[in-house]
Amino acid sequence: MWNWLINPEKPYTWGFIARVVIKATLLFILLNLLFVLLQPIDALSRYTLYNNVFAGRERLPYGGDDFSQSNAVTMDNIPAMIASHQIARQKADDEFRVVIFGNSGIWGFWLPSSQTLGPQMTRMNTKLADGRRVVVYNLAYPYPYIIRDLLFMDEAMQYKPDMIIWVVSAASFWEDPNSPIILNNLDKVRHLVENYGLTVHFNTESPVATDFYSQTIIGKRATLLTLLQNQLTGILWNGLGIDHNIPSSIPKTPNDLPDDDKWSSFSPSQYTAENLLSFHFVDVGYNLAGDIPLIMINQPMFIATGENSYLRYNLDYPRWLFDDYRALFAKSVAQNAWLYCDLWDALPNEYYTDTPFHMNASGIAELGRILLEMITHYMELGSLGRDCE
Amino acid sequence: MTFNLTLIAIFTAGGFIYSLILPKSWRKWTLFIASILAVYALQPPLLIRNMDFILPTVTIFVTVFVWIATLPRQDNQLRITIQWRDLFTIAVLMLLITGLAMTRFLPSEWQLLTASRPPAPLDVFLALFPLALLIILVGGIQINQPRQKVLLSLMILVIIGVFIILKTDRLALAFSGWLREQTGRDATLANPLTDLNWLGFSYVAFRLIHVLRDRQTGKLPDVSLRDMLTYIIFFPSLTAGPIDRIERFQEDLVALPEMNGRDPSRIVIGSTRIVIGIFKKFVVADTLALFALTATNAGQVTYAGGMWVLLYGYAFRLFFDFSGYSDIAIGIGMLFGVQLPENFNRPYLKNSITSFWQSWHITLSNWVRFYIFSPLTRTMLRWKRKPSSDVIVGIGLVATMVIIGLWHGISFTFFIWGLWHATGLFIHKMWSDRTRKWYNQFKKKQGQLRLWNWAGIFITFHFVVVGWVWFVMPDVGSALSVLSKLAGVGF
Repeated sequence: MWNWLINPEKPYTWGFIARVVIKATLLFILLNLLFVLLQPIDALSRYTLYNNVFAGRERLPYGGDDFSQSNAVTMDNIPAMIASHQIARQKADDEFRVVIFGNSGIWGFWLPSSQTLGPQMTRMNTKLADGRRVVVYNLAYPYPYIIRDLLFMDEAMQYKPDMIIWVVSAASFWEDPNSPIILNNLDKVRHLVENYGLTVHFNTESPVATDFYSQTIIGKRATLLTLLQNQLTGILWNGLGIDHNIPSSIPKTPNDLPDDDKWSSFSPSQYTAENLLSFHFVDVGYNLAGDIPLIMINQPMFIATGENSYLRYNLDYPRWLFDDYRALFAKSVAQNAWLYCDLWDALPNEYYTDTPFHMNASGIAELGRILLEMITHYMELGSLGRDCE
Repeated sequence: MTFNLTLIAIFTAGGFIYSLILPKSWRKWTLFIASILAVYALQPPLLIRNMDFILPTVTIFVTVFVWIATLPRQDNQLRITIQWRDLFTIAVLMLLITGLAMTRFLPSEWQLLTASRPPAPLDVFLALFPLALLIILVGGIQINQPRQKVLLSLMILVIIGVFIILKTDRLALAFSGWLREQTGRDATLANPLTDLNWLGFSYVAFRLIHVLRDRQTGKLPDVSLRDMLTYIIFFPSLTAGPIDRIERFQEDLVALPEMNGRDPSRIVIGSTRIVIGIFKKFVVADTLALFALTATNAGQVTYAGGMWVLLYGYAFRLFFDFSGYSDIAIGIGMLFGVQLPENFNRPYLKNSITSFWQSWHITLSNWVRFYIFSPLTRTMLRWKRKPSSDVIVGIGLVATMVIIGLWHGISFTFFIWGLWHATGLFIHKMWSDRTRKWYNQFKKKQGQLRLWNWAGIFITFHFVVVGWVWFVMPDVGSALSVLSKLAGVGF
């Protein structure tokens, strides 16, 4: 088996060893220099087995801390995340492509991917008047970060959406640019900031090192490993049909709430919703969308009726903040002529699971029906219907 | 510390220094000292205090006692004498172990040679000194040859007993609980994985049994204590083999002082094996591990194709992981002047299950053939009412393969895995005995021969791969569930 190594054509010499070492070192240096020069990570990220060798994901890969249970890697590489999604497949001629952005509730926490909003809506087989099938792609992701949604939107535009649905809630507008996915994509955020004149207050330095070593293959080995893991977990996801580890029992979000009117650490005596929330990012979304219709949705949520519900709507929101948020956002919508529908109380409490925004499959189906109704209404009559306007 | 990239880099660098710079006369002692230190450095940390220091020490002293027990004796010999060279080895051993204990006084970040803070040096010395004294005294006890054979048998039984305890979940748990009680710890937290993970014991045990058995049969060469210890705990092969034979290993040790340290062939071949091993283990196997069959993902599979992907993933991951480790061990061994035996020879490309077992974990298969199959079949052949040769072969194969199975862990699934392969080997033996003439016709028809060969490879590979289900699943129920899902049933 090892004959080729043990009995070479010419005997090994120190000259041979020296030549191998020198050539290997030169090749190593050259490859690293080329890597630094070409910065190929983004381009490499878009070369994927998903949608080619095996099916793309039904939602963006998110594996929490342990991807071995969920067959999905948590990463900050947005091109790779979106390239692994079904949206990166060829668009069919009769397809009306709808893309949805949002938080974990829309991503489908504690739900199998087939039960999340995109697949459920697609399965409802809705056809527009012009005969196109409504195919919905779930590009939501855990945690509500509007800047992150913009980064996803920026990348997703190349996959030719016909409509964008952007599901938001008050927390989405709390400017927190210090989440890992944003800090690890600061160059892309800066691009948006410069192009659209955004004001973003970064409290910390980017963790992405920019020195020469960090740009080499060795410096980028963790990123490259994640790229590889993302491809390999795709095999498992395809084999198992599982991309999220769902526990056998999921607790219910409480109906009785604490006697506390703070939002995070913000007290109504010191802050107002106007101080805390900024809506100017939405404009960037409309700029990115261009002529493509972009519908803003105020996300449905659990509304508690038990103890202290006069102070809070649920564990996430005190009434003062959420009421002010709705009023302020509605004002911005009117000023900017954004397409908007406030669905905050559209669904009954029985649909919610462990948080005020996580829903069961039936809740997602119901939301899907509402959104499809809205899509067809808009495409036929140019308005969202329901009592949105 | 596990056999990780850092450690491999240290061993490789050590190998270069050893080959290129070290005086020739230091080589044997260097291997001995490095192996003693490595047996502590490679031991993973354990939750029972000092256990990760005690277990490597026990490995060393069990080896010393086995060496004493295997010293050659004559029928009329009154006493054996431990030679000065071996007494010197014992002194060096004492110094090394006490010295390791003295690293206790270093800052914790400098305690690199032990899994956790070592016990107090005085305690270690007080524990070892009586042992050393006993060794010297035992050396003087009169043991004639017949008594020695009984002693050797007893020692084999003790090693097998310890092996059974460690490899049987319930017994290991009970032993772990007992150890916790003795050390004043909470017995309810007993866990063999964190209390009794005795690094390399499976391999050490088989090497010790080989030495004891070879002394019983008179095949064991004269070996110094230093060489015996170096053989049993030789650091490249301590964690994952191969299982060398002492007479072969000793030939390399004898040749060490004359070895040309600057031989470019040895450097190239050794380094290449290490690089290939690293690639196989840390790139291919660790990547395949992402989609290899586990008890968890077996329950998640929704269709037969998915189960097959997981099973293939497991089969190749196991091969690349294990053969990668073997390549690294062989490569490092070469740099240090020891040519460890090959352990794999393209096993998944063999056209019969018999050829597979001649090329998969070769050194373990050879060991079991030498010490189980051959003696057992020879014994049966000597019976007055000896069974038919088919029955003898069948019994020999079952015994051999079941022992290989149970060597991995004493459980019903490993037992069935052994039976699975014994059945395959037996059927192949019967088939090849009865079809030899017919098969010989193929040799004239190259095209058909090639086709037959590929069919053999396909069948053998899938027989082995399906057999891995018994190897990986924790119980019979889950293994049967996987097997039915592979056939598209039970989703």
